[in-house]
Amino acid sequence: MSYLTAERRPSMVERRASMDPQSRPLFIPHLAGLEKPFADTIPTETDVLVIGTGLTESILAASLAWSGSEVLHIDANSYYGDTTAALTIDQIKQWVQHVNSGASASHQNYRGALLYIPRPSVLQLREYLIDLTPKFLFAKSDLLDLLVKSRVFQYLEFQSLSSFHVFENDCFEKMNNSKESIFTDQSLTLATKRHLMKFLKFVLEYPETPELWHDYADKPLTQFISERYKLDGPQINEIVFSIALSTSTAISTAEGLQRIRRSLTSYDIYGKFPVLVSKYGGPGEVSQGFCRSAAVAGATYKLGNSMIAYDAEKKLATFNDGSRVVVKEKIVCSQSQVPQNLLRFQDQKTEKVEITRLIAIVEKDCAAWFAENEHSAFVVFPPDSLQTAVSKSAPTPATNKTAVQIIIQGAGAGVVPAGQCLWSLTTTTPGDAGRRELEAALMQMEKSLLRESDEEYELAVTPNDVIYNAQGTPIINSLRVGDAFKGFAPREKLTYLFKLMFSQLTAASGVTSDVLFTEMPSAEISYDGFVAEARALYERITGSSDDFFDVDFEDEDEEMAAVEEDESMDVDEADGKRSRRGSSARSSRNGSVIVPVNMSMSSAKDRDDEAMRTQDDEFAAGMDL
Amino acid sequence: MHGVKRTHLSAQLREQKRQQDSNKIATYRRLNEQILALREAHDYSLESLAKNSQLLALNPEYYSAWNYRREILLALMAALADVDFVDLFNRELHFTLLHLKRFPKCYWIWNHRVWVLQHFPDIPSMEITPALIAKVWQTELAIVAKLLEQDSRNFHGWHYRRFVTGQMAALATDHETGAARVQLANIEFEYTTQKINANLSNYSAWHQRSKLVPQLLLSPPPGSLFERPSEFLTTEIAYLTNAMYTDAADSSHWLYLHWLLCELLPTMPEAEQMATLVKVQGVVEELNELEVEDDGVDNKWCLVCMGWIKKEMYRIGGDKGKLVEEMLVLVAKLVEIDPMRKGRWEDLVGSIGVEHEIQHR
Repeated sequence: MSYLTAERRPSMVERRASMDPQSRPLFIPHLAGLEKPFADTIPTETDVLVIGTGLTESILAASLAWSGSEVLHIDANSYYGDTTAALTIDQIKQWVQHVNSGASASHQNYRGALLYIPRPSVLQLREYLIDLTPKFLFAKSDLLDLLVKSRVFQYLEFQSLSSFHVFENDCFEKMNNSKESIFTDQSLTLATKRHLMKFLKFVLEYPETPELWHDYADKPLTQFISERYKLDGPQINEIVFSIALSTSTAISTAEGLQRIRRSLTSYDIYGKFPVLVSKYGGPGEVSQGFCRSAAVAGATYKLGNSMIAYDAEKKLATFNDGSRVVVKEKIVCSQSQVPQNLLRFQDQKTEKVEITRLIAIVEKDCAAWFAENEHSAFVVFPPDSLQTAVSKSAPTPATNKTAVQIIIQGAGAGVVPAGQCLWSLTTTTPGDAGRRELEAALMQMEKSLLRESDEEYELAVTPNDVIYNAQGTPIINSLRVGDAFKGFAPREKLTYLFKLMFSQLTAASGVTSDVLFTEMPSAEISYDGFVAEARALYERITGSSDDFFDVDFEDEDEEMAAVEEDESMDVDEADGKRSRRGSSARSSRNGSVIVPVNMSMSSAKDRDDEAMRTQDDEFAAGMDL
Repeated sequence: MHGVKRTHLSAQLREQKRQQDSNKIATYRRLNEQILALREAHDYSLESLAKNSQLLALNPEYYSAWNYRREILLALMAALADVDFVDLFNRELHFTLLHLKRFPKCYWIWNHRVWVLQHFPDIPSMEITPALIAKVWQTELAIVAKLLEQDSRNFHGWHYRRFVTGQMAALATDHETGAARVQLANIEFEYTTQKINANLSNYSAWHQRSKLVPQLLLSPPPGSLFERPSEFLTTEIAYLTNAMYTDAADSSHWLYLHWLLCELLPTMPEAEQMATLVKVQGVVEELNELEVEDDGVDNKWCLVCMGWIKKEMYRIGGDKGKLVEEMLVLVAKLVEIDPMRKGRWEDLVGSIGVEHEIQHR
């Protein structure tokens, strides 16, 4: 089935008017569903000017708008998302040019972008969405709470991700993070099961039992686990890289425990999985959702707009379209698009860390990587698990210094067409070494995938390769059978349709004056950090974060529940009655518009449909489980 | 203030909410009075049935309303009213399912569903074929499986499952009855394994298992493990060992082990009994040693389990003097780590007939 079929909901990228260059208006809000009447005049003053529509800025803009501040939110790009955007192939091509030219106003702190598209004609351009900053969302996290509270989740569609693979001894181990997976895993000894469970139970309550770990707080987590919980190699790797999601073996016990707990407490909240991914592009969709929310609360949006002059005395900003705005409070600026005239406000002393990403699209569905009914998976290569290739510039082989983390997404995640798969690899090893590590990881992925899919290859299955699925039925853990494959020579080649490699600097924000800078996205694989940053900026701007997103849509919820009750009663009743009640319920829902926005008929329907979809099982129903 | 709903509604909103609530209450009261009056008047019409639906939607715990509903249905059938009864009964099933989704733990809804299914054959002019009935129960089994997916520990669901499989077994013709029962029990046994693997602490699933095993041992499915009871015991104990090592503090599997040792085992040959007890004792003692080594205290469940084992050994003629001595040591330890249940632990000693020993000390 084609990815672009009529029955599925178009993603926000497809819905936004900027997709169609002919009808691209000067002002936003051209977010579908929010067709505010265009202002006749450009606002002449605003409380806060936000530059860049990345996730932090978008959350901040929405929080400010909802607390009653006037917000003007601009972006130099013609799309939403900035550093956290989800881009189409065409946009990626442009993006690469801009990054490499170094002249663009909007892609600072990126460098060395390499793009490889061997057969451009094969790529159906609009069927791809490539996240510049791939992330997944813990089921128990500040962002998820905020998505629910702000109702932004209604604009999004979430899917579960329960497959975590750790590469070890030339094969992939699946993560054991729950009692059930430990209970049914036939490859663990009884003693290991016992220690693993004890450790996991301890972590859930570790803040209350400091005496058990305080001596180790600053020592490596690995040391703590092996000395106190008698676990070894594979289990430690699993805990450190797949549950704590650390990129380094040196992670301290204090930090590690906090990260493990984050994962464990997220499990079994919306189901038997710890994390969620947003369909049709991750942070790109989420930041756009917050922009939409901000627009609902009255923020003004302008894409393709950058500041060309700033008079600090008069607090007067001039934009490339000639318009001018007096900024009464603060300017918040993304570090990917700092205007020349704001550079002097930036703190130049902050230390920058380099992240390198490699995004590849392969012509394989990679279904073996995903859990049943899922379309995303996580793979990690722990430090020293990869051999980098030898070349002129690197004459001696080396192993990877930090972990390579990979998010794999198939067609069901709405980012590639059927039969293809998107791999997003990230490393924090700086420079060329990092790039070589990513290449090595890619090679290893390719090798594993090919031997998976080579049906003619005979393999000896040992009892260790048999695991039990959730139903208790034994299945061959195909990703574990790596040992049997040493010396395997693939019969076919893996076709790469797209490869993009680039480096990004993380730059901490320096605050000096009326101008605040947001941070570049970090290498953290989850969304953790965005909300905290937005909240801190909010506090800096308004003086207190007590009313950060102090919105309450609960009354509307109640009304929804009442409607639902009504409708469930209807089913049992005579036809005539049902339609009458149905229509009254509909009008009452339309009557209770969240916000005083003039909605067009079509957008009202749009919202209505979304309300319908989210009604079912609260949040969980929105997910494609 | 996490998870606490904010209450500072404005005066206007508060008034609005009060108005909404009082409207709701008034509607409910009005409906209730109408229904009671209708019942009093022996009104068994479709209109009353519809009103009754409205009331039950507001309050599914109202058993008098459910009773009235059944009176209506019976009266309609008795009067051979001009109604499509098949459709009517299907709508009853739909009605209960709708409410089960909202209130999966309401007795009266489950009760009504059972009643409806049992009265299906009474429908006037209905042609009942065995195939039709079999299909009905198959559907029920699928429905209850779905509900147990949402909450695998809903004992209403498990109870209903037993009811449905009982009906299915009863359906088989006389000469098949045995085989059908056995096959069903075997499928149910597999189902409990599935559910336990998905959630170790599923008390209902362990309980269901204990209901099925004796049946299966009595008439084992051909080719199954149940044909060789001793092998079955070995497998089951390995399964339980796995469980206790995974989580020694989880009482669900210990309770099943208690059933296995104290209820099932006595029905087996004596030699089998002693060998099994010795084996389990070895496993549990070893686990407890590990627990002591790690945590510095005995694991309560390990000690309790050793108590059960000694009690059983005493019964089938172990070295009684030694067993009593060991039991007293165990109980002393138990009282020390869990003094609140002192009486219960001492009963454990009492169970092997040594009350006097305690009095002596």
